[in-house]
Amino acid sequence: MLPLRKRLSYQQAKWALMLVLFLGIIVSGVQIVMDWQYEHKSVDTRVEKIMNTLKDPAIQAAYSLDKQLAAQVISGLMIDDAIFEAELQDDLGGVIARQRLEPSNDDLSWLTELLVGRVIFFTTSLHVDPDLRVGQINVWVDGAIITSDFVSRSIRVLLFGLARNLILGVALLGLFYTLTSRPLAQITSQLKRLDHQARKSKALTYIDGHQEDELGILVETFNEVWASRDQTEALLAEKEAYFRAVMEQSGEALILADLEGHIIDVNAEACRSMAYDNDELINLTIADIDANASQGAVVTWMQALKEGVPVSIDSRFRRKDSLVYPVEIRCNLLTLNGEKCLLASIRDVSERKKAEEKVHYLAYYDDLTKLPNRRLLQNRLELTLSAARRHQHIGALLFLDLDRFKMVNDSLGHTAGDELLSLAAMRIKGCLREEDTAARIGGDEFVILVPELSDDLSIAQNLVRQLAQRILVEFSLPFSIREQDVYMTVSVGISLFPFDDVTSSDILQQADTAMYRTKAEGRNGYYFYHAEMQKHANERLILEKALHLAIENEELSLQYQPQVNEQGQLSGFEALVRWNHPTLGRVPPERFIHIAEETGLILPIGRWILVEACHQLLILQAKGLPKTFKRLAINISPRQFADDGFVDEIRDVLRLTGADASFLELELTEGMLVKNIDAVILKMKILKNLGFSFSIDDFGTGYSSLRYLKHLPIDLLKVDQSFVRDIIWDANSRAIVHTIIAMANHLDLALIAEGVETDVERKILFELGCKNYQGYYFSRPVGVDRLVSYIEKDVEFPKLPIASSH
Amino acid sequence: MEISNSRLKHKYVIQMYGTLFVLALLSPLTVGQTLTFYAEHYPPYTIDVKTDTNTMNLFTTNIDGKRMHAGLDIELIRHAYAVMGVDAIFKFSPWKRVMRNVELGNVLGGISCRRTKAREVFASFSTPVSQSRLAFITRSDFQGEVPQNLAGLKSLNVVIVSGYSQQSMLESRGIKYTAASSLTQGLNLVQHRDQDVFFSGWEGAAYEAKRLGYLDKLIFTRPTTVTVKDFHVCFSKKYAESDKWRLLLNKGLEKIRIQGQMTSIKQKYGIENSY
Repeated sequence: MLPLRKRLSYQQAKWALMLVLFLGIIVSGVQIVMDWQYEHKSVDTRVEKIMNTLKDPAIQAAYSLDKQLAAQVISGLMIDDAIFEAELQDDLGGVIARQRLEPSNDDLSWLTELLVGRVIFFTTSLHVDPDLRVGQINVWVDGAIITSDFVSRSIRVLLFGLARNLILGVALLGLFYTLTSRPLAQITSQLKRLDHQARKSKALTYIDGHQEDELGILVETFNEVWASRDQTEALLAEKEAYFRAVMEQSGEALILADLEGHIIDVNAEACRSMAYDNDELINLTIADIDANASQGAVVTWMQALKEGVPVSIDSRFRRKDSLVYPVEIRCNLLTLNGEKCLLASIRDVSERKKAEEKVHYLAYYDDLTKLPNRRLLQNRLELTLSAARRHQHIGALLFLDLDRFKMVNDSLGHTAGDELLSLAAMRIKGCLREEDTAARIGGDEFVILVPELSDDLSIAQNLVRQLAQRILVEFSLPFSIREQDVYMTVSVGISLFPFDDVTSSDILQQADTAMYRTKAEGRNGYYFYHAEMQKHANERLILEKALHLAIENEELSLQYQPQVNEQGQLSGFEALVRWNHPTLGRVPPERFIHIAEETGLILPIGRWILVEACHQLLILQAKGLPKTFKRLAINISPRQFADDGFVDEIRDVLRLTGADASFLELELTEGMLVKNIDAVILKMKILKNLGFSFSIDDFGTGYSSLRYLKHLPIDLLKVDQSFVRDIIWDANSRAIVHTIIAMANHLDLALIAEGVETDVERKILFELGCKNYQGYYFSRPVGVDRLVSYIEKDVEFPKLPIASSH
Repeated sequence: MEISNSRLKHKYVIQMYGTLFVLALLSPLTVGQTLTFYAEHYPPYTIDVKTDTNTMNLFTTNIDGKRMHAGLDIELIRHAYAVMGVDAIFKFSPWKRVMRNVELGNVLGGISCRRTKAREVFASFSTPVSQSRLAFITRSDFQGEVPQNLAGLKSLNVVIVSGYSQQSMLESRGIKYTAASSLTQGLNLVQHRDQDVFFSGWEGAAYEAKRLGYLDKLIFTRPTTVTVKDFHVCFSKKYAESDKWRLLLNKGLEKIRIQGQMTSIKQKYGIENSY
């Protein structure tokens, strides 16, 4: 049972009573103040009214100094009990009449004094006319008389208000007790029973008379909450069991720890992955199992975590058997039973780390040769370049390209090619110091980065030259591929750095350019890069760009060089392509044909030549070719001939132009025939069947293999002009030409000598057995007009003396 | 009547200018000055034109469009000073106020003023300006014995005007009285109340009774002991140079008496030179 002063009804009544008293005092105070203001005003009005009433007689009395009348006036004023003294003065201040009573004296005089003062004085002037003042009335009012009524009235107001409010307070106490406190006590009692009965009772019962008021709603709401609590508790129990199961079945190790790092709980995976028993783990701290952090560091780190903000870190954990393995930890702060805890899920990332390392390796290394790839080389080159600039020493970059690697690859297969590359890489690495880097940056392209050679340029050049020579020596030894010895040379370009403001890309480009120079100079060697090389490279780039537009802009043309027999009669023409560029001028074939070959432009150019030559042949036939005319020779480039669509294209050109293939001779070079010889034979035979004849151009400069001469359907050999040029004074050349002629005769092949420029050369050739010639001695290559005039005029070229022909 | 007046006026003008000439030579400091005297409305001696607007138009004069106060004493004094080259003007207030101001020296002088011992303390008196008879005024139907002298008043209810000389006369003889505030009140008390005798000046009371319309219902009786009293101008002893102006007035009064103006003015108001 609650003591009365703690009861809600008492509290409510107490506060209500205090409020009512307070408000009552305020209201009464306002009422008293207003009353006082009215009272005060009414006194003024009252005195003023009396004085106005008596003003005229007073004026008369003052004017006439009539004491009797003045006395009557004063008596009239004294009728008001509030006035205890009055006098009538003349204009000189003399008292005409005066009357005075003793003012009242009571216990409230102090209040009167406080409110209005003990005596209130009134006075009014008396005038006969505005200009003539004749006296004044002075009146003294007893403040106590005025305030006595007011005070007693105010006391009554206050006392009645107080009594009323006290009664109201008692009434409120009873009312609140009945309406609020008692029903609440009943509800409380029910609640206690509810709790003691351990929820056997499922709900509170409504209080009589309060089913639909706030207490009814309270009971109803409580019952709902009570029911909801039951459900929630059951749900929580289920969820706890669920989460426990999830935790135990989780594939990740889960650890719950306090903010000091002491492990509170772990799941089975945590025990398994760290090879601890559950009890053992719970006696450890995070620092005991984290190989990367001390206890202090762990605590500091955990203190900095924020609740609800998950954090992922990489670390390493130490198993019970001291094995350390990388882990990814995902942590989150949470509050359990009012204590902040760290929940960490730990994932063993050993496999992932390995995979990352693998990815990193693949990203920066060549899997075949195990050498750094272009990307890593680039990184190292940049670092090396900046270090070289900083320390002012000289380094070198060597660009290596295996010579004719493609041929090995094509002939022995890709596997053999890969094997060769691996062996080549090993040899390259064998030539290097620890600090040097060898990288494979392309199919058969290797780069060696030598970070520091010397501070002196000449010394650096010597050192790198020694290195290049050593590499060349290493490559001069055969590579053993599938029990076969394969010879492989290498072309090397060298660029020294740092000079000028070159970038790493520039250095690589320079070495590449130098390497191409080596290639151009016959391979199997090395060149240092110098600026002139870059000029050539740039020119080549310009030519390559212009060549793309040559056909479209009709910059190409054909010239024809006559071929002559021993009687000086025209036996054929060789079609020769010419390029006349509007700004570059006449570009000789030796400058652009190899570019066309390398870039693939030779295919459209070759087709254009074929079509153009066929058209010209038809024109010449229409003009009437001499009977001695046998062929129009057209040069076929290796790439053009190797193209799978070459035969079809030839057919297409014949169909397009209507030319007779029996007057057309396709000039091939020796190099085109040695690769994939069976396919070459097949292709040549098909064309042979179409009517074409074949000649071998520049014979004697290449393989000059009798093997293919024997098997290929060749009709003509063309003796290279280099032999003809030296035939007068070089016995060796003469012997070679003689051998070639003998070979042609032996194989029953026709023969023609190129580059015949003098009559002496022609005579020697004739004496050696060569009866067909081509060269400046007879005619330079001519344009179409000149060619037509040759035909039309039946021009005779120089011929041998008759005697000599026998 | 017109001829007589014209002659009188001509004579008067000659005498006045002659007197002015003499005075101007004798006392140049007084010439052109204006003196103010205070009076109570006490017809026919002093008539306040504001109070008496109708009945006594006969006595008033207009100067420069302004209606001047009238009355026997006023005119005599005005003329007396005029012949001495001084202007006299008059203002009205209750008699007690006039006497108080004279006593205090607030004003030069008051009219019309009887000579009493009390007044002699604070006032100097001019030579008599006019005379007045005393009267015991009773109702015509008064059943009692009409008193013949002051002693006869002792057994009667007597009314006097407060502040008038009759008051001191009664007080000196120990006769009880009722003080009225004015002639009118005194007359009304006798006519309409229980008062037996109104002791006052004859002329003034008669004048007022006539104005009130019941003169014929009153009986005026002359006391045997005291018959005629002079009216003076009370000059305040405290007022600066009051004696100079008193003497100047005396001379003026003498002049107009000699010149006959005094007689003609008294005739205008129907009052004999002496009773």
